[in-house]
Amino acid sequence: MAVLNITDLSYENITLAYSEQTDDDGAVFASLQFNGDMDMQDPDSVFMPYIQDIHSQMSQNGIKKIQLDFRPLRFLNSSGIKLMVKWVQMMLILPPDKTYSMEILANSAVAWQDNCLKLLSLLAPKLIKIKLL
Amino acid sequence: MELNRNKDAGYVELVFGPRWVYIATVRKFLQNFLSVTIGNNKKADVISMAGSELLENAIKYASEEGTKISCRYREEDNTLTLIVQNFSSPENIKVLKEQIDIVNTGNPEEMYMKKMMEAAMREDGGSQLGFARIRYESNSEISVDVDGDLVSVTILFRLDAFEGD
Repeated sequence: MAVLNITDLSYENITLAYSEQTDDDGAVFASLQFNGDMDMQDPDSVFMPYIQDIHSQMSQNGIKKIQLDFRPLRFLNSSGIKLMVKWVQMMLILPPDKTYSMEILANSAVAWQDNCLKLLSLLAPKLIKIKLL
Repeated sequence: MELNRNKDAGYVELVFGPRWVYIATVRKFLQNFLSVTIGNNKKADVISMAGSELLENAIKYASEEGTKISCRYREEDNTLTLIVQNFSSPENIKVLKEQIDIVNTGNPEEMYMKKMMEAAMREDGGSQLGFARIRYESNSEISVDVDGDLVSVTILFRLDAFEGD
């Protein structure tokens, strides 16, 4: 049974697929896979409440890691980048006992994933790790 | 009608109505066109991303119908010029020029990080991240020309100046 009460979210050309996995130490971590193109005019209005829900439930339920898999995402516009920066800023203000880390999976063959996601990890180097695959 | 008398190695021009839904279609066409023209998918991705960001700006801040994008590749110096034109209001033109001036100063990575932090404070739909992203990802030169209410934003990509496949 899932720890968090989160479902998938689809809107226009994008789907965010939520799942939970277990690491080598038996700890449950959250996983969010981005599929499609995030190129709408105002992604905040659609996706921010969803992200806030994941963020709140993770800190309340003691989930210590979320894996964001961007590899199937074909395009992310600058408004989508803004959305991700807002998420990172929410993580940064959590008290230490409530905080969690973020692992970003990116495709090194896709220019924007290589360039842009690498920079995103620099906003919170202690909390965000990027894996270029 | 101009028919590419300069005989550039690759040239395309598209005029379309300012509707957000067309941006993805134009971006995908541009990506395919550039992959064929410059033979490098990663560089084609970066330039089509830049085109998409410029079109988003053009459509968000257009004062009337009509957006034009043109793309010209010159083999002799391995450069690609991307131009997006639209009509805009004096207020929006002023903001656009200010943004381009700001982004053209300083280190591209530092500027992009700074603009990311500023974007996160914004509560409207805009991010004002597009130009900083373009400059950071492509090391390109961004300029703007204004003729009345017609705005032309030009990006010069030196294809040897950023990473490809």
